[in-house]
Amino acid sequence: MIPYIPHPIESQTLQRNDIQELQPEDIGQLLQKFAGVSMKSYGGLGGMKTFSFRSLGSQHTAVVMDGFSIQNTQSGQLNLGQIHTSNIESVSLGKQSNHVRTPVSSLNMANEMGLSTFEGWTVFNKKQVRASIKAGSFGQSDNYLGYHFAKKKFGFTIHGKYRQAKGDYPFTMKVGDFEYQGVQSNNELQELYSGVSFFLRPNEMKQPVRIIYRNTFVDQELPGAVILYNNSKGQFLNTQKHNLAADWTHKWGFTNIRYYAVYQYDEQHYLDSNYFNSAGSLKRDFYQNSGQLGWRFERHTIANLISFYGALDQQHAPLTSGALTEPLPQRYSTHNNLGFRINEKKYNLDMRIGYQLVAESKINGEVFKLRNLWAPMLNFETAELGKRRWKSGFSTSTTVRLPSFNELYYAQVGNQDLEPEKARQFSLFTGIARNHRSWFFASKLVTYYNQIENKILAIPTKNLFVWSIQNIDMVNALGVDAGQVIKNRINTKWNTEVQLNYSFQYSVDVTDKNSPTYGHQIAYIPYHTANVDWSLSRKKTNLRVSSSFIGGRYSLNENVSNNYLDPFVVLDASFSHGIEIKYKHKVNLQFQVKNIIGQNYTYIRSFVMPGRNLLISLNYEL
Amino acid sequence: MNYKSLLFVSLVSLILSSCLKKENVVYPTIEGQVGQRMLILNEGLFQQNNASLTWANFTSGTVSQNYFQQIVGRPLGDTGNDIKKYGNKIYIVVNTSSTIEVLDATTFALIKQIEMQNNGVAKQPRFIDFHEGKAFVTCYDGFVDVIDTLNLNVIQRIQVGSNPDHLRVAGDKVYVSNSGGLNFPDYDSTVSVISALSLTEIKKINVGINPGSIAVGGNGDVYVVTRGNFGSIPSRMIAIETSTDTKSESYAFEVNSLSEKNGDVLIFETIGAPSIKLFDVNSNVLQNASLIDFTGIVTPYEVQYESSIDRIYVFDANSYVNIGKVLEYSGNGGFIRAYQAGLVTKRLVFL
Repeated sequence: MIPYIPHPIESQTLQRNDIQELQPEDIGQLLQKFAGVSMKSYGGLGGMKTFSFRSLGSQHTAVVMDGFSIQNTQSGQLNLGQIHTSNIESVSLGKQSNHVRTPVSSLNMANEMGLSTFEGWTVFNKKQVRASIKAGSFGQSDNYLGYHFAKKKFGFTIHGKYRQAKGDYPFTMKVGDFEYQGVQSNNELQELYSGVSFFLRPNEMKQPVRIIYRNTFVDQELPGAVILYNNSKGQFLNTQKHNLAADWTHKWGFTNIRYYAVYQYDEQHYLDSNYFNSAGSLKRDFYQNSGQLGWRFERHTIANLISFYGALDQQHAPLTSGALTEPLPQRYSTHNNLGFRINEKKYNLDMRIGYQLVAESKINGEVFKLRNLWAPMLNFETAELGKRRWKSGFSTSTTVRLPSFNELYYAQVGNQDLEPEKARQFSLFTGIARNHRSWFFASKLVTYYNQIENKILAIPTKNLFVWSIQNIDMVNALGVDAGQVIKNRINTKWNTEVQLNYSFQYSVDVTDKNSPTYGHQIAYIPYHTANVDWSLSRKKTNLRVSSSFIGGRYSLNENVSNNYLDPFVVLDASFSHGIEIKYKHKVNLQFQVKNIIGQNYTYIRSFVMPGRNLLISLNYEL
Repeated sequence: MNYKSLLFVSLVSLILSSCLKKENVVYPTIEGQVGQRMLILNEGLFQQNNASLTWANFTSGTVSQNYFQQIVGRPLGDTGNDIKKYGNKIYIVVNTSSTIEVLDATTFALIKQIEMQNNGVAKQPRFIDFHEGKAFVTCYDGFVDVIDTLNLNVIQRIQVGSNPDHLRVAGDKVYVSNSGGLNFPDYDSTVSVISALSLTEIKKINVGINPGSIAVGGNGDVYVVTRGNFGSIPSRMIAIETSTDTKSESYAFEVNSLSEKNGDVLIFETIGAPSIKLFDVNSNVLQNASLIDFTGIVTPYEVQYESSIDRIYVFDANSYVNIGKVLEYSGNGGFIRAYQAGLVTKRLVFL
């Protein structure tokens, strides 16, 4: 028999086993395994990666790590290339999980990417060690060590990771029928991630207090776009991040209350050493602080039939940079949320209303703009019915994403009159999950209609060199996500699994009927994306073949042949063998070939991706 | 030989060699023979490698896109900024790719791709103009490069102000706008005057911040747009008296760019309602009404006047992200026809 597996319709989730087999460079590569994701990768290890989910830009998706929001008010989005996966226990994407650990600011967003990490664990009476050493193409080396120690009442985790790469890789870029070859240079990277977490509880009946500190130091060259006939480069980026978070969940009868606080400090230093100003280089420095303080309660009735929940958090985010039109823009926000859940035998209903009060300040803390924003949500779904665990439902929500500080204040392009971008989501979903003897089958189908209003875009205004950020677009997105998982325990030694995901997105510009792009597919949203993963394992030996297909798409909203980007398939394979020696020491050796067929491809026009490359990793676990 | 003798011999040699050159070599003129065909340069978008040429044949009524790639077998590059015909060669300045593509104006065969690099750093060429067998090219790294149009080699780099942009030959001098655009908000505010004979900068004239487009008037004056800071400081047109190389006048109207029209200057501006007005250089009077009706033109980007057939061309960049077009008007503003071109239409040459 195959053990009970959670219903995949609830969220798209990848667990640590999958992550280890896939050996992604970062979270961005993992997200491609989810239906509905359109990735934007600018190439190279540590390179900028963002994504859109069901045609909503990444600023609509809250990133929650171990129950704490991670934000970037400067750019409004996180570089997924700088979230490593060595410490990730699971990653999920979709609707908010909505339990007491979900921060209110996440509930007011359209979607959530949830990350659970090794250092966020609060497992008591346990000692754990995890270590890995990796070496790969492009001069890549990667070392990780995590140590978890816990007694009855307290515990701690420390972890560190150092990764470096020379990074240069050959490429062939297709421009029309012409193939341009070269070496993508200026790719050197050094990253250091580390952190420590503590957790303690007064007695075994109480929830622990958690304190988690993480930092990130990244020094990287920026390879940038490939420019025909011009290989001069000279851009560098230094990033430093510190994140301190603490929470405590208190259970009081049928009520759970969680108190939490987060402090985040980000520094970013950009250098263009070939910039033709009088200094001979361009340097941009950004210093960003943000603080968050909040609480959330859940009150269950007897038998958990009805739960009420509410939450409040306060955030303050100032940013300092000489690159902005204002010396010290600040944002004060209050997030509120009030809702209830009905957990009937045959159905679940979740309704809530979110409210944000946002005060924007640009000088001396004086408020120049107040925003009142509402975020209603309704989710109805049946319980798992019958042997097939059939489940279906619908969901609707209206959310906004605020303009980032760059969009509001960045020199020359910033626009302080920007309005938030509004997203209305409607989705219908259905799926089954069935265990049958040695088999497990799960299928899901999600159809959705999303509407984006006041889309925030950078457009040239006076001329090509004077751009400005504007609210201009209205986008309608109609899509289907389909997924299938099949697992089979062939016998006591052999197991096999196939995972398939397919997405169709019809995401069109409906801003102006007289525009040449009216009814055209939005740039960088492919109509079709798919991925297929197949694995075969015998005891501790595993083979996994993983493929991703990104369909044809356009680099600009005008759907003409000059803007068309070819579809591509990337095929990876990994082979691993593990041994367990006494005292539960587990050692695993893994060999991986990425982009086996040496596909030449780009997610973003002119930003070439690496060809075939290798990775060997040795993992240890206690 | 002392210093003064050396200087004297050098000067005499220079004058003699100039005279000899003038006697023995017939230099082509910048105005090519106007026929029934034109090449339109489409700038494309930064980092998209999609600069292109559109080929229009009036006789057959055909328009062909991506013409450079068709004839040369490879793309033009990233951000096409200027195109001019000189003698029997077409020069295409490609800014971000940092190249100048030189084509045979009769056969369109590629003669040379001039790589505009300085110790591995792209010079970012902007505009080109010609004087007696030499091409002068503004490079954003603070130089004007001089190219011998016979062997197509860079023979001299002349240091000017910061981020030189537009340039124009007037007599034996080259006037260069030093924009200083990359020092925003501390723009440059000078025009460099280069001797086209000695290939040296002979003067810097203070004209006002962010100099751009330059035109030469029939009265011998040079007109320069000072673009201001796109905010509190408005754009203006100023005049330079070329006999003294001094700023002689500043005109209180906003202006984007200038084109020469039979000795006068066409003033193109897009602040408020876009307009093209004629400025009479002798009376210093700006026409009241626009020559062109801009209704239906989404993003008027550039204007060019072709004197040999008395035509005004307006380049519609169509929001900069959609396929643009070129609109053709008679010299007095009557609409004639429009051609679909490529992304961000910029300039054209007649063949």
